[in-house]
Amino acid sequence: MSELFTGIDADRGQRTGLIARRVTLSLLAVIPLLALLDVFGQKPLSSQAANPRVRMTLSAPETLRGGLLFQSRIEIHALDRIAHPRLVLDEGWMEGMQVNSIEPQPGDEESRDGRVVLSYTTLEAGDVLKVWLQFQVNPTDVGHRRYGLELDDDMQPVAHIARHITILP
Amino acid sequence: MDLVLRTIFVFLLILVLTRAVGRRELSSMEPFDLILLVVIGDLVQQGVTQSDYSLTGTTTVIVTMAALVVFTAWLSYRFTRLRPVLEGHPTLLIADGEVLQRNLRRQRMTLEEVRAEARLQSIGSLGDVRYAVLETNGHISFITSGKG
Repeated sequence: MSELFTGIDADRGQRTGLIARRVTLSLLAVIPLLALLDVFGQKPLSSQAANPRVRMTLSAPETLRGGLLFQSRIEIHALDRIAHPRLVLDEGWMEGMQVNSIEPQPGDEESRDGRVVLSYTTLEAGDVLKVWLQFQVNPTDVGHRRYGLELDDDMQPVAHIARHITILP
Repeated sequence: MDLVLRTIFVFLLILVLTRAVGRRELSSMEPFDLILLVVIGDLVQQGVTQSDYSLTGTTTVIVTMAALVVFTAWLSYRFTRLRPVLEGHPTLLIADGEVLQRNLRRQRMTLEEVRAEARLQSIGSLGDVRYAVLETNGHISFITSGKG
C-alpha cells in the first residue's frame, strides 16, 4: 500500500459513524412529520361562542411563523338586535403584525384598556356580519400572546372567544 | 403542513426537470446552463418558502429536502429497476477509439466539448482514448489505451 493510504483503516469508525448518521437522520426526520401535523402552524382553527343574542365564529391560525401572510375571519350571526356592535381585539391581534386590510372597514376605531375596538353599524336579528382581517407577521415578533375576541353592544359584553397566538422564530 | 408538501412537489419537479434537460447540463457551466441553475434556485425559494422568513420554516424545508435526497438515494440503491429512472444510464461516447456521433447528438454534445474534457484530464489526444463514457452525474470518464 502506498504512503497515501497510511492512517486510513478500512473499518475504523465506520460502525460508530453509521449509527450516528442514522440516529441524527431519524431525529431530523421528526421535523417534517411534526410540520405535516401542523405543529409549526399556519392552519386556521375555528372557535365559536354562542348565546341567545348572537353566534360568533373566529377562524384564524393559532401558530404562525415570521413573515407569513395570514387571514383571520370573524363571523357574527345576530339572533337579537345589537344596536352598537363593537369588536374588541386583544393586543395579540396588532402586536408585531402588519395589518394589510380589514374588510369591511369599521366606522370607527378606538382603544379601550390597551385593546383595539372596531365599531360597526347596527345588526338586526338575522343579520350576518363577516369581517376579513389580512395580516403579515413581523419576523421579529416572536412569542405567545392573547388573541381573544369580544363582541360588545356599545360597552356591554355580548360574546367572548378566548384564544392565544404563538409566533415561532 | 403546506411547507413540507411544497418542498416535496418542488423536489419532484426538479428531479423530473434535471432528468429531462439531460446530464450534460448537470456538470457543465455554459452560460445557458448557469442561467437555468440560478433561475431555478431563485424560483424554488419563492415557491417553497413564499413569505416565510422564519428559522422554523427554513429548518423544515432543509430537513425535508435532505430526507427526500436520502430517500431517493435509498430507492435507487434498493430497487435496481428504479435506478435508470432516477439516475439514468451511462452513455458511451467513444468505443474502441471510435467517436459515436449518434450518442453525442443525443446528448447535445460536440466533439469540441469531449476534447475539452479530455484536456482537463491531461489527455493529449483523443487518439489515445479507448473508451469515453458520459456518466450519470454529467462527468466524462476516459479510459486510455494504455490503461487496457
